[in-house]
Amino acid sequence: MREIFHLSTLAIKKKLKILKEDEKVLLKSLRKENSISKKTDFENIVKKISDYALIDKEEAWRSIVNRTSQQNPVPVYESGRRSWYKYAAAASLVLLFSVSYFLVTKNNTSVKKNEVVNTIIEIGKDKATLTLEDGSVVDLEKDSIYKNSNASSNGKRIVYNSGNQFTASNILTVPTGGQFNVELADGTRVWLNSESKLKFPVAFKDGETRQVELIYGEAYFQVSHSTAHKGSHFKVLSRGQNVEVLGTEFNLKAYNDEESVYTTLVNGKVSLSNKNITGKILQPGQQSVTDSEGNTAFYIRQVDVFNEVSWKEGVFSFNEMKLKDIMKVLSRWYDVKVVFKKTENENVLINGILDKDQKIEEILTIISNTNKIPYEINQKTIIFK
Amino acid sequence: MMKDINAHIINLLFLHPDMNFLKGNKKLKSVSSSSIKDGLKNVFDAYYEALVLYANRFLPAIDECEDLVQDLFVDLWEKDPFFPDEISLKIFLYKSTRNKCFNVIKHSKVKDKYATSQSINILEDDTLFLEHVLEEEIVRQLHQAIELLPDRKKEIIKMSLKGLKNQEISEILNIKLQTVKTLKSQSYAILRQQFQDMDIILYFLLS
Repeated sequence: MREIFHLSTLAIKKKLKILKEDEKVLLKSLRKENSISKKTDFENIVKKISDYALIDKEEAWRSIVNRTSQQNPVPVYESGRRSWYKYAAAASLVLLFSVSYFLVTKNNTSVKKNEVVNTIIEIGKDKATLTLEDGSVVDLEKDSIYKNSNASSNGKRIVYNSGNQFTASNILTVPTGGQFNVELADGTRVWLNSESKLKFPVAFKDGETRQVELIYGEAYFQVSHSTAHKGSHFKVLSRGQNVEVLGTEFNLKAYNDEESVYTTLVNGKVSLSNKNITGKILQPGQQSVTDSEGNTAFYIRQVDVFNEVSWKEGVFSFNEMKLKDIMKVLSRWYDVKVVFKKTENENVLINGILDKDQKIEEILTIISNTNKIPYEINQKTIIFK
Repeated sequence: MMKDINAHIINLLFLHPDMNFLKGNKKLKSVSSSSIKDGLKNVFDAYYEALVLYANRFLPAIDECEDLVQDLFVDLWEKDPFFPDEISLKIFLYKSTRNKCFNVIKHSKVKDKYATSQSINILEDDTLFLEHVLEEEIVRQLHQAIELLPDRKKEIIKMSLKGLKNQEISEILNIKLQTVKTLKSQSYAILRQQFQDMDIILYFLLS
């Protein structure tokens, strides 16, 4: 069996056109040698193929179906826990059981306003906490002005001065139900989505790589071009990967409770690296997906950029997105938990554009009416029945 | 040197996203269905036997192997994880099977301590793991390709794999010897085309 492995590796190399001269010779000689001992070498494979016939596959599948239908779990999706899973979202083109409906919430008259009741669920807003180099923590909130020697904030956005000399790091943390915007000392602007944490130096040194870290969460980067900084690259570290850029705009999504990290390029050019791969280039309009451990390859696909970055424009845009994934996004903005009583409702596909400044009940009413999925709000938990 | 090549190839096989190892697998790319069950069934159909036989390398009782792999599919159903591509799915399946075997062996009260530690050593060796996976994948994909052949051709190839001679096949199936030969060579042509450079293997297997 070792022989067949060796042979096949060489054969694959040949297919990939990376076979070196000495390996060509090796391949030839192996072919020769093996023609003598072929019987013994390949018996195992032949045996295994006939072993396939011994396995009662139908019975096995029945047993799996039985076991899964008995259990019928009611998963609870709550933010901050590793209980959120997605399946084959990559190319979800099969819409057999899907219900799609375009939600235009702003002008939608079918919203029954009287169903909107006051609850304790609040709409997300601009807020963050800033951890300074000495470890002290400052709350940044709408309508509150903050200023220190390096930066100033109007409660929506914090701007670092370009003349800073100090090279310590600050950390900006955006909680559930928050969003914030920061302009770094090099002029790079970063929009932070709910449940995100960014670490960055208060000043950069021209000529050296400008490095920041998205510890978790989602961020949109508008990077000031390296030509303005003596060619120094901008580098973003995150779960499972790092992104190196010259000057560009891109979105990076690396939540702790999601198994994949998504990088979407809007403009310019970025280069992705992880443990195994260096220098994977993304083109505008492309999104790369990789696992948060950095083990797998960068899976590249073409996406509608607007859907990916709309959150920073004050809307959520969903295209053929599963209800459970939509609720994951909403749970971060509205700080709620979501429960599906019927698992099949999790995968209902929905199109729509939602304003981020409307009450969650308005959104739920539309989803509920158009897809016939009743819901109930209990404290800060939304239950789809 | 062997080790270098292995590492390199395995990198290419498992890490290169654009690498379509074998053409026969395209079906699985559309695994994504809005119903988990459909997707899972596709994965099950493609991998079940291979995973069982992989487990069988470490656990002698095939029933135990089947149970273990069924557990894995029940887990998949419940946890519904996301895989960006088939390669990650493949790695996940074999790795999970390996872990399950590992747990079974560790917790079994087998008296033969030597055999247990041998099995654990083999299970823990990452190079061996990749070799095993590659072997299972060759078998699995060959099997898949054979299954896709038209009925008569499939029958003949299977008999020929069992070691029956053309004459014997023609007698069993009650067809002319020349027909057996023709069908056989047509089947090889189909398989070869599907496997391109894997033809070396087929050459040894089917000649």
